[in-house]
Amino acid sequence: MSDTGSAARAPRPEETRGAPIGLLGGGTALLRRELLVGLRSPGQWLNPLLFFVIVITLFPLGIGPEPSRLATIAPGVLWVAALLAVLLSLDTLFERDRADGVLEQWVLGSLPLTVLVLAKVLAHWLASGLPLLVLSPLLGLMLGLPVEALPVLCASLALGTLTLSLTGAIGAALTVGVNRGGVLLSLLVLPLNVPVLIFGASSVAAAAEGFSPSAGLTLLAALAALALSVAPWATAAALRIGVGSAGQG
Amino acid sequence: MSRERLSGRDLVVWRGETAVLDGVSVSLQRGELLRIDGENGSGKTTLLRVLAGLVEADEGDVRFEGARLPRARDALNAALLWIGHRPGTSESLTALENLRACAVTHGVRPDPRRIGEALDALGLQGRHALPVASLSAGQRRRVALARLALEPCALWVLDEPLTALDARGLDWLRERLSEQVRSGGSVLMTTHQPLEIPGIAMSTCRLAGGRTVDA
Repeated sequence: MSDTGSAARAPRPEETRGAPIGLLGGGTALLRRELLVGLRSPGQWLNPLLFFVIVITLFPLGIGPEPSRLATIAPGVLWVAALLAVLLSLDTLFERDRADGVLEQWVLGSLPLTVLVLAKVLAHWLASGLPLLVLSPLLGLMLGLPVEALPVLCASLALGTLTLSLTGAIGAALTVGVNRGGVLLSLLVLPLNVPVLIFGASSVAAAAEGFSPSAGLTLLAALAALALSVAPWATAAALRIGVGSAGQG
Repeated sequence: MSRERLSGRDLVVWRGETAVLDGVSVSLQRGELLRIDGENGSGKTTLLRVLAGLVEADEGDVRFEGARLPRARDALNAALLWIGHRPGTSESLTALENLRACAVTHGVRPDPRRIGEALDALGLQGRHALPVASLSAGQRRRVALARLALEPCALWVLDEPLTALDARGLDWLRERLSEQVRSGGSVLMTTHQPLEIPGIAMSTCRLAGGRTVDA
């Protein structure tokens, strides 16, 4: 440090540069930042959660409380509601940071953009996917899902919502700066989400009927691994383009 | 080795049917402050965005320390401090948290003590822990500008840094700019207000309708 307290402070740019922060250190610091932002604006994670709970509690009211009928539709209902809840929360993923100019700083920063994207997506999953996961056994029981199927429900939602966050980030990055990009975002992301929905719901249904859910879960894990290895790079590339074209001063 | 830090040659940027930049060439040396001047809509901000690597020009090339841009991007990013007309701070975070995140984005471990000192020097005592949303426009601008004292970079690109600043903030900024240029750094900035900094190399590039004109 050149902090000698001399009267003439004209530090050379190269000398006072602080200690470098590694990729991991940078990633965790940004994850903390994102979680802090989420904590300060609870609507971001409360809205999808409320939506999830409301949709699922409305089903028994709408189609009648007959347990056998509810149990057959439970896997599908839980999964569709979870997918829509995650989709609902994607709109704002990059929008506020774009408006505040934070995205510009990210694109021009020295930390790789993919690390920033990974931190962002992980924070999004912790704020939107994890709460669904925690509440889902309760809602599953309410819909008459057998207790044996509940661990499978949680496992499938854990893998599935992570994939949804990752693919959703690509869509959110592609529609960054687009006025009312929400509809466009849904159209872009839905085709990518259909396989997640199919394998997620089918693995829970299999477990509910006493069959092995491993086929569906394995495919969900494969989808999550694929999304994890492709989505951060695709999202980073889309962000570069979006920040470059959006927002003229 | 050449003294040239950043240059753009024959830059053309199309926005639909109109050319926002129509063959602009600029060159910025080490230890120089280059001011881009011009009316609203003359292409100042676009020129800055192209030179910082945010926007790719449709024609022409940008060179950083002699290397052409997409290839020199990592080197440019490592040396660049960009303050656009958007503040780059999140409204729900405090000044301190924002500046910590800025340092991290720049690949540097944040030093809370130095951040606090920089905020104090800008007259933000007692406001370190307030969400940026509760600060006034001028104070927000100061939080963004505090980075000039915190992240030493060879190249500053500042879009209208003087907006919403009062006399004291202006003095502070003038001092930072002068320090930067005298220590061999380079500054590229736009401003509408007249800016006098005695004793440093300063040049002006006037833009009108996407072309350079003689001042």
